[in-house]
Amino acid sequence: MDAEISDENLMLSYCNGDADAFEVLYQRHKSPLYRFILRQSGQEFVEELFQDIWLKVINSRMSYQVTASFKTWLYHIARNRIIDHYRRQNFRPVNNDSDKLSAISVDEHVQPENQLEAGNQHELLMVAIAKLPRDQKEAFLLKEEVGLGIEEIANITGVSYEAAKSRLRYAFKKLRDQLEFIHEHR
Amino acid sequence: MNTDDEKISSLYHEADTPGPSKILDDAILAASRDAVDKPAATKGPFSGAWPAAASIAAVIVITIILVPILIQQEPQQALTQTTREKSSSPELSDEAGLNAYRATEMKKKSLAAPMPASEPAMLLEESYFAEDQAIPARSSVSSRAATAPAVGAASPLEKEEMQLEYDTSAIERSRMQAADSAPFAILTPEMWQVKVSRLIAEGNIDTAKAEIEKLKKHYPGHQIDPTLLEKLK
Repeated sequence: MDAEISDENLMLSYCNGDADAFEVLYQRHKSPLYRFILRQSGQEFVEELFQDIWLKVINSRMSYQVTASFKTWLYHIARNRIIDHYRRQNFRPVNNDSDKLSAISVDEHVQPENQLEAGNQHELLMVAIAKLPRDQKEAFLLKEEVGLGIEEIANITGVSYEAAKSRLRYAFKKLRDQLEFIHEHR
Repeated sequence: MNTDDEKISSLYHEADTPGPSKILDDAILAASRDAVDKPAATKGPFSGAWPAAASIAAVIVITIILVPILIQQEPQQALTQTTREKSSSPELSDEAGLNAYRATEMKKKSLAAPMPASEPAMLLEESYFAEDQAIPARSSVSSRAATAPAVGAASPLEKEEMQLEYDTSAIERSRMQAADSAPFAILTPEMWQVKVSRLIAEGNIDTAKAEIEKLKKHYPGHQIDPTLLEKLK
């Protein structure tokens, strides 16, 4: 059942009272959505936001209409909730990884080998992602975590195709530069 | 996407992938089942936002329609109420009448100038107070003939006086009509005396005496015109 039925049909089944359909839907999307939130809000708020977003999906079941893909709809809700969270936090970045990266960037001039030995490349990538501007980070996560194309990213973030593409390109460039910078000091 | 970007992408997916806790999963799934188990309440005809909007609209319409009507009726109701009070307990002092009397006295003091002689009927209809102000200024000629004089045969001074006499008699007639038609409660002492003088003129001496007694009772401090009392004797 899981692989055959589309997200939209599962959601429609749930709207008609099939709770099992929702469970399938939830199992499909819970991990990418969780990480999408985690990378933007930090560990402190991820569970609260994650729960809010799914409750919003549950409560919106009566008004759900298949106008776009379920994934687009879900991440649209998620994005709005995260923006709302940022507003409540006065746009204060929550992720402490930024500080971590700053510390690495300063110290690596002195002892880069030690820095690289201390953490693996993945960890450094995570730190670099955390330091990305919010729009670029969002575009990167929608692509890598959720698996969306540029058009869908543009649709969810409410920008043009070119703008979404540009954000994604800048995000990759910054990450590349950051990792190259680390490699140069190996 | 170039090879570097692919490296970044693969690097991103390499490590462990955190997910929600089991407790969170269970909570969300339980919420989803609860939502399905409790079907949304069917909307009745009085659910939704329209009853509130309709109520507000009804209140506004009623206010717009009723308030002017109530404002118009209020003086009439107050008048009726005062009359009832008077008829039920005649010994009680008539506050409405006293107030009217006081207001008249104050106006008399403050307005020394006589009322213009033109359009007396209109003024009488509009205000009893205006009438009371005008009468003392013309009281000396008020007892003269009420019919219009032959103005053409008199000198200018006489013409003026005759015209004034005619106007005054018109005022007097209107005033007497007002005294007759005015409810008992709002008669001022002056109006009451006019009514008495009319009754005397009509020969209803007993009724006039009764009216004088009422006047004395309701306005004990008022000085009744001695000529009127003389006529009653």
